[in-house]
Amino acid sequence: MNIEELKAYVRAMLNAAFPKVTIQFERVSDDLFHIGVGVYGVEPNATKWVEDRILDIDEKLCTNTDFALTPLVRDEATTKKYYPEFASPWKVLPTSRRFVGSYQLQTAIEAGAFVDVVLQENEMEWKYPDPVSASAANQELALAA
Amino acid sequence: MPNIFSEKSAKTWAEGNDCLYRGLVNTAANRIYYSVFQAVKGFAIQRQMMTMDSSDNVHRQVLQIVGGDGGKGAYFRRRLNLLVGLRLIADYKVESVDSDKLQDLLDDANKIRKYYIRIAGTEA
Repeated sequence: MNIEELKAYVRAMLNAAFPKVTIQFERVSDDLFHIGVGVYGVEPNATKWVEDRILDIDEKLCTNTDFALTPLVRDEATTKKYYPEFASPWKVLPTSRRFVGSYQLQTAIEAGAFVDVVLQENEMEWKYPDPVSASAANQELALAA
Repeated sequence: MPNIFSEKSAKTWAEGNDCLYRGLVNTAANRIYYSVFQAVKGFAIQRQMMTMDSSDNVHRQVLQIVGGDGGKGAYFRRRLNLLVGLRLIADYKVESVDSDKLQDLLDDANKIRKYYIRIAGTEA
């Protein structure tokens, strides 16, 4: 796995589960292998959930490797005040959730075979606080597997 | 030989808690993270995983050390990783650290710190 494959996987998983946010990878000091996963415009009751999902990926993919993923999750108010350029762009785009998730996932799968293996072996049940989104997220994961 | 950073880590920890008590939440996040970092670095130096002068990639290395330490390592890596995030926000981002998030991590941060101070003097 290289760093671009890891980023593609992280983006695919987060987009599939939670498509209405902006995801940005951020440098952590001068360390090329320590990636800050910036997520913006998250509903306040979901910030912990998104952090936990990033930590899940870090645990499953980065333990005993040279990589580390650190979550940097901002709620809607923080995003609006300090990062208006990242304020929920998906909410104003007439784009299908399924299309976005599938497209990103396909991109990730094309990036490396490891993704396929991880998704098949991974039995993570992502329980988003909003039941509608949780259902959609788990449906995306099932489709991916 | 005891952890060479034990005294400094304790002092940094006290500074962090004092800052938190006084509402200086960004400084508190920085100090509390570094008190844990110092404890793990002291351990890593004794186990020859780092040198005193190590500065490249050390924060990722500290996560790897904590995460690789057996059964509870994965849990404490997660908790330390959240503290790393707060310290990045405190030092490099425009917003301020959420005091509640820092409070939530205090107990586990202190456990990690004390653990690596305690085991540094034991056999590998």
